[in-house]
Amino acid sequence: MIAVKAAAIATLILLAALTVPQLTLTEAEAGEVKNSAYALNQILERAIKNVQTVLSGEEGNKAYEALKSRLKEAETLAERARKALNEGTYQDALNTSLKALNIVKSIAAEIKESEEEQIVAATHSTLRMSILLSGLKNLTDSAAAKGYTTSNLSEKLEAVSKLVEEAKSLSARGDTLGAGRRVAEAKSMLGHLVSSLNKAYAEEKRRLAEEYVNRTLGRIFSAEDVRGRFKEQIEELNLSRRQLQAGNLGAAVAQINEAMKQMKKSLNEELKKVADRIQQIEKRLNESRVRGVDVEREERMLQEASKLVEQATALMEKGDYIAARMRVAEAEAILQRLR
Amino acid sequence: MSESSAKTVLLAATLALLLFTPIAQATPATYEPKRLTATIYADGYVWIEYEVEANPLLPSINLTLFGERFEELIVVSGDGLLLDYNFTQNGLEVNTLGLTDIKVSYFTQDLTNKTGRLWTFTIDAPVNITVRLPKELTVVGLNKAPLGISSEGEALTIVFEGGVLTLNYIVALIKTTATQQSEVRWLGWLGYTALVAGVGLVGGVVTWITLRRRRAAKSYVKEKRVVDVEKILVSKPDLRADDKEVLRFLAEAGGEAFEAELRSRFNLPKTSMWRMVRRLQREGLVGVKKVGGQNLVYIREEPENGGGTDVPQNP
Repeated sequence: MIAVKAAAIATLILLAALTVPQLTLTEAEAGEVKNSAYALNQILERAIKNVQTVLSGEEGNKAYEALKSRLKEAETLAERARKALNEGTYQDALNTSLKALNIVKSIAAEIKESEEEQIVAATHSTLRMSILLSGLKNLTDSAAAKGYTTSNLSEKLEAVSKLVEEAKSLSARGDTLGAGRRVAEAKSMLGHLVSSLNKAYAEEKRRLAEEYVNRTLGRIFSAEDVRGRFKEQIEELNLSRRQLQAGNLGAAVAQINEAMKQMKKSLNEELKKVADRIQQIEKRLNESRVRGVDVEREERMLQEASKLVEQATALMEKGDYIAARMRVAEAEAILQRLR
Repeated sequence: MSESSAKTVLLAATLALLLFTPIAQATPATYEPKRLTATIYADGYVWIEYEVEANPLLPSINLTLFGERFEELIVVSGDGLLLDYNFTQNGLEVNTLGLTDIKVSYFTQDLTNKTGRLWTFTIDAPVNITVRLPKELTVVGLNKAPLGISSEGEALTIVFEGGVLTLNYIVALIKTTATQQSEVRWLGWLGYTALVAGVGLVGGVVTWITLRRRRAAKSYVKEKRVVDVEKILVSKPDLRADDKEVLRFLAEAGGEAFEAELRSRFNLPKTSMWRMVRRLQREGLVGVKKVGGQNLVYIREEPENGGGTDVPQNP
């Protein structure tokens, strides 16, 4: 009887819990559906118009005539969707638009490949270089703003810019091959430019790495219980600091990474050990309880240790190995007392 | 409340809580995805811009990227510092050195594939994704509704919710609205110019002809005859008063005058004057001849019965 009542009340609680967020969601969803419906309708109308244009470029093609009549179906649905939008029935508009877009997609799948695609593709290859170029221009500007000497980089950028312009004009004239050569040349120059920028930033990265090492070491030394546990890692971090001072950024960063990986590994091992110990103690406490010994206090202590292990695991997952190690040390201290 | 009912409520609450507890999502601990943008190009390449928030406690993060092969890969911090990275089995290890705002950008061909004319772009986005499409790319299929849309010129920017996105598109050199508008404008200008030029040309020709005719008419030396108009009027007593006046004017003018002169004298419109002359012609009293393109109306020496031979040109 209690079980039945419990199930009924559980259902009620669940229903109550579900009702509140659902009301809020419905409101939010309504706005989203409206936006989606409008966006989808725009996409659909553009798709119909453009597919229509592609099809009309092949007058007299019988296969295309059939596609055109299918496109009419999509147009009818688009019209219906537009009407639904005007009437404010957004979900209906959304569904109808999706249906229409499916028809357009099936039509597009049957349109044969054309030369103009190749032309556009060639144009876009140069367009892509423009994007990359503008990104690197921004990086160079930001380097200049930080006080780095970037005059040689600006010259290189200018040269790449010229190549991209040449590629654009060749591509516009239909000289795909010529444009491709310019793009390849521009790409290679941009690669050199990136490596030059990287070199220019070496000092800043060295400084950042040193700051990171100091910060980490500072945290380790501020936690008394942790210091002794991370001896090897402290040594490794100190070594990396020396590498940084010698200007070996790559080697230093590799050492820092290794130190942190080792820190995680050792922490993981410690956590496993503590968890195993908790299990063993729990087993022993159970046995004592069966024998009629009062173990309530010990059980509470064990629960506390378990909680600390949970916290340590979460902190380790977040990358805070030092805080995690502190929790492990606390758990270890409790287990020590329990013994 | 009895002890049993209290237990029941407690049990029920625990049950509900257990059922309703969300299952922890396996999110990467070293970074959190913030923004994702994909710009699709007609040559099958996609420019990915992926912004993440890195864990400042770690010296590096292991990023999972989209695609398998990456070109022109650049990793920068929020303030534009180029960061070092190494490729790993699962993606990229970026040396963030405690920095938090990280942006990775690269080109990849692995996110698109093509069947016939139809291209398909597929991505599993961990956050909302913004897809940019240049004007030559037309979306013809979607696996889910977009969250929003905006356009910059003819290029489209569509935002989708995170998750698997499949977007179909075609590449075509579609004339843009701007081009069409400029064409319409150009055609409008052309039409307008042609119209003005045509009107000007016709006007010029007409003016030239008129002037030429006027010059010819002006250079015409009218005959000066003495016409006994009263005799004519007596012989035709049924003539209308205004017809009689015209005959009198012609007689005073030496027997002939241009139709334009008659119009001006009697302040009559072209058609009324034409009808009047036609009437007098039918009476056989006047004749009409062309001089420099103009109608010269003259009183006949001998009135004819019936109509004259010349018929004045209809205005």
